[in-house]
Amino acid sequence: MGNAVTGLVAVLLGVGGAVALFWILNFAAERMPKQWEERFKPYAFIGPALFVVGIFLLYPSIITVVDSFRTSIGTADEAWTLANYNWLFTDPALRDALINNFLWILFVPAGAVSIGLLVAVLADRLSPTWEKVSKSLIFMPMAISFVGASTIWLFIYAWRPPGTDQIGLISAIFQGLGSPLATPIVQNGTLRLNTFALMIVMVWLQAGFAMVLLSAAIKNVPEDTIEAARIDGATEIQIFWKVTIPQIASTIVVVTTTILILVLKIFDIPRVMTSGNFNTDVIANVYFDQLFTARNQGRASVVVVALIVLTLPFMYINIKRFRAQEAAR
Amino acid sequence: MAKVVMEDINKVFPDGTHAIIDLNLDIEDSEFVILVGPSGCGKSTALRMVAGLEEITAGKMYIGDQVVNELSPKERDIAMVFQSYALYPHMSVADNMGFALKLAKVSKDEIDKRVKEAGEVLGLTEYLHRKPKALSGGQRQRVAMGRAIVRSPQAFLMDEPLSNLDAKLRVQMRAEIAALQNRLGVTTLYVTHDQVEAMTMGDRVAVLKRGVLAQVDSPQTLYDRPDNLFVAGFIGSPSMNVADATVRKQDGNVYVELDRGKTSLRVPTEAIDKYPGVAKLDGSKVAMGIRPENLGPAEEVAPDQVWKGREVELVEMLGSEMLVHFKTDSPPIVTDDMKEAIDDEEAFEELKKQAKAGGQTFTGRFEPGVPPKVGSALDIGVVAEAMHFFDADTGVALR
Repeated sequence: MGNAVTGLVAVLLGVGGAVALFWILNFAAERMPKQWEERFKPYAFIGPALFVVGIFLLYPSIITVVDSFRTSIGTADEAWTLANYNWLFTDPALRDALINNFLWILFVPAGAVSIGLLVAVLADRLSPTWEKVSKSLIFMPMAISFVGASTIWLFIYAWRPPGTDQIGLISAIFQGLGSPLATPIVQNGTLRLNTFALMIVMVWLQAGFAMVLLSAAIKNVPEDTIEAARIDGATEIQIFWKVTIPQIASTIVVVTTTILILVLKIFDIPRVMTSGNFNTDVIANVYFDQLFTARNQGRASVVVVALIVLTLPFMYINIKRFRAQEAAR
Repeated sequence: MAKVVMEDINKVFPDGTHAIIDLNLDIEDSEFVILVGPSGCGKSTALRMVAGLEEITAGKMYIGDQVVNELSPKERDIAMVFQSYALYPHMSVADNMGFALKLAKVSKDEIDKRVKEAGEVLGLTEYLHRKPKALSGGQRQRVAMGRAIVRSPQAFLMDEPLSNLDAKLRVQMRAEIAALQNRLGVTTLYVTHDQVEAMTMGDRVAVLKRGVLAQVDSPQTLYDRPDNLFVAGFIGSPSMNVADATVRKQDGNVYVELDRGKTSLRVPTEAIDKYPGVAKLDGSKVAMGIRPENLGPAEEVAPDQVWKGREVELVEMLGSEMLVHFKTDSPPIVTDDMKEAIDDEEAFEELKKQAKAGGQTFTGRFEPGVPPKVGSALDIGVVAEAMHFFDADTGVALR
């Protein structure tokens, strides 16, 4: 009961405080001389928002960049240095993590969009009932959290020595067929393929999302243009590539960039499935290890800086596309 | 270029709708045939079967001498203009027009040349690099036409290509398409629900009613000698006045009784020559049709062809003519034929109401002049030579 009252008061104070703040600023603006009022008013309204963004986004970013140039932060040995950057560019483990991130970027959006597109196109040719059923099946994983999905796939990949009872789906299939797997699937040495086994989880999660948007886009392609192409002498494959795909191109770009941004932040799946071992590490996980396990704030910061720099081109493209879209309206 | 022949064509949709019933239609090489009918009569379905976009349930379809039932649209070598134009939004005008040629692996120079030529013919030269989005409705329509003509196909198929244009542009494009077809000499099948387009554009007009071919003939023949009540009612604007009437013989003359026997007009031999079936009747019910332009001032006809004392209901002054709507006591014919010909639920309900009341409104087309007062009585001259007679039940012309 006491907590509820406290919560209620907090909500009232929060909302009321915001209202009061704007009322006071507006009141102050209106008391000013005319030419001052016009200049001050915009700042009175965007000022508080800018302040909040500054405190919670801008300030931490700056601190992170600053920290990336320091070692032994918070101790007597604290010093300015480029050692973190030296580590960033020379550490073999980190380089592998960067390569893995790059592989994620390269294959996951493309994989999810291709599968989503394939399902969308094929489902479009089914009867309405079967279309609904097949789409639901593909879409269902969307509702599962990354951690949950990782756990599910750990079971699918689970491995026990040949001859013992297998609980993993894939191992069981191989054993059932008489050729049991000699080595574990994901937790196996430093195979580069391990990363791909993790990527499958993300593709499984995101293909449904891609399918829903692409399916809607495909249904929006006018049937007339397809028929016109048929009369113009196009084969079904030519129709798909030359008439359908160009008309849904903008949706493909949107879906790809959305998944891309998600993949740039990839952390949960490697963390849960391998903790970054077996050559599946990604930079977000390196950051986590550096900050909370190694307690090296400088190295953690330099990893974040690297991640920001990697993200910038994609953000730039996205913003440019968004502006072009707004301008086209 | 080739002739297109439909032989006992039938179309049954999966839901059981029998959309086209035993359609027989020959389109000669270079001929411009219009397929017209009220909404839902199956005209677009028929066109799509020629195109190969719709399967043929039964019957044979020929393009040239080849049976094309099982051929894909690609193999049929036809071009189609869609109601929505169906332009590819991501391609420039030139690419839209050249797409079929590109797929057919025609050389790039040849494509450029043909697209340029078509662009000149259609006045699109300065728009060739533009996307369809940046064009007006009329220009898009031209691009759709261009896409058809660059291919020099066996036949043009056009599915209501002008229905998305405003009225003024439609009149202009109507003439342009007819002239273009005439110049290119490509066999053309043109679907429309607009009977003005049907009358003005084609060499021949095929009128379709609920999947059945009602009549196919030159536009003037359809207008002058309709085979049935449906064609009579559908072709012509304002449409033909049709009334429940009785034929009587007296002193060697044939009379038609209107207003439930209160008015009797002599049917001259010219009309009987056209509808010899009338001469065989005496005292039987018929459907009498008369076009608005054959109802005029009483002075212009013989005294026994004057319809006396009609109450004026409404006068429409159209500048070049004057439409006088007047009351009659002759019930309308409310058969299926009339319902399809009117092609308007509300208008048909109104006609039914009038039928119950035992009268209906007729329209006469007069020379413009001093309009008669609404509510006044007017003597109408009936040019009885131009009367049409149909069986009241079956709607078949009494020939």
